[in-house]
Amino acid sequence: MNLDRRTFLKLSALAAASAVAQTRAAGQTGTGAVPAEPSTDGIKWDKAPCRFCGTGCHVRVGVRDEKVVAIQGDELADVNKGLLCVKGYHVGLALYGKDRLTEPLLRKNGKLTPISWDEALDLVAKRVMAAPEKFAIYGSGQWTIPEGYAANKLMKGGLSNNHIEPNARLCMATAVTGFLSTYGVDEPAGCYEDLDKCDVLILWGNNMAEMHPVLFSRFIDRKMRGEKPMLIDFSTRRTRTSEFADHYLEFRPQSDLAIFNGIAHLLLKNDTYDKAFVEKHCAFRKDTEKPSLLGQPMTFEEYQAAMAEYTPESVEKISGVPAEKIRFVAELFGRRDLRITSTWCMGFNQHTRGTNVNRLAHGVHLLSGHFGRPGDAPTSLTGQPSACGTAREVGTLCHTLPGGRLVENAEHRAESEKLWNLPPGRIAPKIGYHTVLLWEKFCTPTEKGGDISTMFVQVTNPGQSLPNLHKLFQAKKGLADKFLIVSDVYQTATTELADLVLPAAMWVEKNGIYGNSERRTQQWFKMVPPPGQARDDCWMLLALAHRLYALGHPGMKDKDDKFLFPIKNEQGAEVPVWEWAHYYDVNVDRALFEEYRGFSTLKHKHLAPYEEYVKARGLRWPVVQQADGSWRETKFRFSEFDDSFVKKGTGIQFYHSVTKDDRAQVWFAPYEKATEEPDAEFPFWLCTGRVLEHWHTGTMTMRIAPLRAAMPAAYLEMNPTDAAERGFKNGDLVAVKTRRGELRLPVWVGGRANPPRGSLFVPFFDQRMLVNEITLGDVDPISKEPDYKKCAATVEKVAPATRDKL
Amino acid sequence: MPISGLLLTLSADPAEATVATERIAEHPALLPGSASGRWLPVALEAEDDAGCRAVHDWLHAQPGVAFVDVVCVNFETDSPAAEAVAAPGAFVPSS
Amino acid sequence: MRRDGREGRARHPRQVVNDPLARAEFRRKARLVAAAVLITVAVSGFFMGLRSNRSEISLSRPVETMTPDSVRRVVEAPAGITGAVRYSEVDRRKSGANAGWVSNVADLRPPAAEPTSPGNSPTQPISEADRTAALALRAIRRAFDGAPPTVPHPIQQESPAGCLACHAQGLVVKDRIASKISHPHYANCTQCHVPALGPGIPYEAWLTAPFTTSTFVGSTPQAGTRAQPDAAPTIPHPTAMRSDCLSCHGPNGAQGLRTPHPNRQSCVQCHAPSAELEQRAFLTHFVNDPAPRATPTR
Repeated sequence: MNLDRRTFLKLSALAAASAVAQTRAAGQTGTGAVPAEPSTDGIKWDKAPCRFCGTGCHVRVGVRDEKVVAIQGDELADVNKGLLCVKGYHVGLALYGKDRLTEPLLRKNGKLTPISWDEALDLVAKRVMAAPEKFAIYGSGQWTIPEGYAANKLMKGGLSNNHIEPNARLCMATAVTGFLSTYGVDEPAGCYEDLDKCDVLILWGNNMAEMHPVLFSRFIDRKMRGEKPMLIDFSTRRTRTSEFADHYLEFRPQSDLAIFNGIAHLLLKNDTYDKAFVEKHCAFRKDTEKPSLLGQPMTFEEYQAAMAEYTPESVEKISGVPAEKIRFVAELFGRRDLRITSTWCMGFNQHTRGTNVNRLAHGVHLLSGHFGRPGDAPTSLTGQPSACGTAREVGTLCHTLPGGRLVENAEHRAESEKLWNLPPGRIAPKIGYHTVLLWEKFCTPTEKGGDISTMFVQVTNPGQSLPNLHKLFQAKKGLADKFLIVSDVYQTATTELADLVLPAAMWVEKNGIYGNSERRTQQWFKMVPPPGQARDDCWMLLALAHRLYALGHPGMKDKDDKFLFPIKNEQGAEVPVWEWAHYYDVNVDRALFEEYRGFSTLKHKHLAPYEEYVKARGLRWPVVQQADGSWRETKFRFSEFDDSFVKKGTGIQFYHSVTKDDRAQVWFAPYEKATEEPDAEFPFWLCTGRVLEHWHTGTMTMRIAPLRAAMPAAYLEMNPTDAAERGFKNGDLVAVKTRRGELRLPVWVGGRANPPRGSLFVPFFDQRMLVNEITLGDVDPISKEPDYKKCAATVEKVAPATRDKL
Repeated sequence: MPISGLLLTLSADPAEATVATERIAEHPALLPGSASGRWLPVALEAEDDAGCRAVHDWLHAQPGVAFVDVVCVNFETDSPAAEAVAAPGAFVPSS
Repeated sequence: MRRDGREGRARHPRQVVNDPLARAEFRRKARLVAAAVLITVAVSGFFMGLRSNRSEISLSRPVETMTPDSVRRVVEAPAGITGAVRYSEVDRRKSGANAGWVSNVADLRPPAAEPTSPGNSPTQPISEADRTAALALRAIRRAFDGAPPTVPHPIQQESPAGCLACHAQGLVVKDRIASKISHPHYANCTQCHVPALGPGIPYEAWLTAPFTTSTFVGSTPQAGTRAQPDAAPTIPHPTAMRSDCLSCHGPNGAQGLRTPHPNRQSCVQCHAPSAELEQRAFLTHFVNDPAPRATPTR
């Protein structure tokens, strides 16, 4: 009995061990294999920059069965260190709206009807051949670098036509003119690391908590770690950002000009400006009668005299910011022991005196010596993922050529022609139409001087994002000889007037390269196939170019009579990438990027070879090859300790100085009134902008359920007292009127913060309530960027009977 | 007498593994089962806890055994260790 | 013997309730806790009030509230006279966060201090139904496994200052669970967590109707793997943003996700995370290394 029992126990023990042995062995192939990692359900992960804003977070894209199924923050990415915002976490859903465009559509008898790709491209090519000078391309800061580069080369190098503009004209053009007129070269000197190092962060009309949430967290999370950096929020309306601020300083729209002058005034008066820095590194400048990029020099004494009138008291009168607060901020700037970073975005850029206010921001930092040390930086942030990379660096504006070159500069044209192997004189010397003018010309009847007849729009939605839409977009309706081609992923406000709609591949459905706000160039690979017949924008451009070549357009040949876009495989044989079936036979992105790299050295924006970007989570230019063959990025430009182009011993060298003496320009600009200010008839300031959940015109984010649920529709944000005076309650339908039209919206009393009395705010993401039908459209005289942030408006209740006519 | 079930992970080298399997089969305290892949289940019976440890260490020392997992241990009522557990206070853990 | 052991464990809470002395002690503790909760709420409310110095409550004009019709109140004072507002009205100006707030202090309960709190026993075995229910609820709030969950209640739109009132330590009120924040080093809650019910404006229906559906199919939660039947399962999700396992798996987590052994503090001692999910790709070559050896060869 005892023995039986023991045997039984032994056998039980053996059975248990055998069961485990079988479990272990199960699923193993052959001997020597080990249990697999915890199941990730067959998901394959790869890196990509986020599709949305200019921050340039990296995401990990989880792909299974050729579909994106999950997104993670990329912990190896220096920008976001594993964190994303709610848009970024849901970026993968942007691909899967059920109404994706999947076939080319031609408008026949007013209705969009399917046609083949061949028919579509033949049609476009014929229109371009018929009148190449009346053709224009309107692209985007969401174009990848190779896409923008191909478009730029096709237009300027192929068609000798400079009517190419990116939508970045609407957001970044002013930052560009600010940088150019101050430092002689575009883009911020510092980087996001300034946010980690500064003692004081000043946000200028910049609702960072909603617009650049990951950067905002990068700063405020320092407080959670026990650091005590100070946050100052200069703003025209209280926002979520203000809730985190140590000092919320509300100013009257347009008075930012006076505030900077008030700070400069005190730095001079109290003798707290950085004399050594100014003496060594700065010169002074002001505009001539007619505003221009370079203006004219002024002496320090003249500068001092010009600033004399901006006493704290007079600035308080203009801006509404208490004089003591102006003194407080000036005192901070006067201290050398503090590191101060300023950031701004659309508040400064979409401004009829935007170039001036950008100049003044740089000026105050230079005057006080808060420049060039980590944490001491004037930094402009961008709104689009490649506004810097594709619009600014590739130079897809009507007056620029790649690598910081200018159309009007004969030397730059000659260099570009050489790099493109074109006959001399191919590139037209006259600048093209800037965005607002371009659309005005397109929407004006030909017989009245509207000399743009065919417009090719890629990766953007001007039907919603242009200002003063009635005039600049909707007027196209009914003009029989105007032809609008739109390549996009969904039906948009723009496709509503399109004559030809081309279905595009987006984001990880294609290879791509973006350039973010801190000069970081980021590469990704195609991970999933595009739906239906959707194809790459870059392919569309190459296919169009080849059709023009086949039709005999002389511009589609280089000076050796070869096709403009020579794309070769590793064996050196030309690949017919203009045929979709062969487009991915070779990495076209790599080929175009390597060609483009040749342009990057003139302005010291050196780029590394494509393969380096494959390995990295982006690299910040200039990327310089080291003695050991490795490639080193640059975090702090113009600073000797980090920028290898700075001459040893200089400390700081502005090596692209407009005065050719290594000095940056400290500009004087006066306070001037806005072009349209509230009056008796239109007593409110109307401001427009974004919200956290939606990105720009909402074509992607409005199709992402969690984002849409969180913010389902546009609204009118209003001060509670103003609302109460008019008897408005939350959800009431009201009419906002400006001199350009009327828009009906539901009211949100207070909104996400508390706007000051006399101000209104409307987000522009909602296609059903186009606030840009009533925005101003007046542009900055230098950058030609429109002001979306300020115009005069009034608001009235809508009688219930007329409600359904929204 | 304590009885336990062990799971042996055999060496990836088949020659070593074969030698180990043979030696285990000869060991009086061990009752081997049938191997699944590289995993060999065995039952172990020894006089007492110390005896179990000795066999365990012997297994570890075999070149053909990469790892020893303990799957289950049975404290039989007639084993001294089990009695010690049943009479609290009398048992002093050895480690 | 096993049966005895289980009963012995289960007897403990019942003893507390049956023994008059222990019951008095329990009541005293409950009162203390209730008082502590009240004081905390009052004090934090006071400071939050101080913080929001921007309020512009107009006392002489109607103020729209966000509360449902049943409890809606409109402050209306005679023209030209500034009347005092009742404290109960203060938070009703428009705030979505307090919409429909009903005082029910009796139902307040602090987070379970010990695993044996009555009626909330984490040691009770997890049934498959519990787990399915917990995962279903979890899925409603996430577009895919790993997406930041949406907020199932109205929020204060202006700032995330109020979130931590409940989510800093976690709170159970009736059947609602406010889970404890599992990444307390991040300050801007609304950056990732957006309200599922929108901003709280009474939009007309056509404005909130979706105009398209999505074909997106997100990844779903996976179960951890076990090396052998009784081994601790591996962690099937990344631990990034989940630095406190007990946020979900603790005594206040959903029934189907709770750990059966909350008294053990060091979770990763037994539950191993995945190098791939943890984005430690540079370590994954170890995965293909043969079975563990006494001395790792690399």
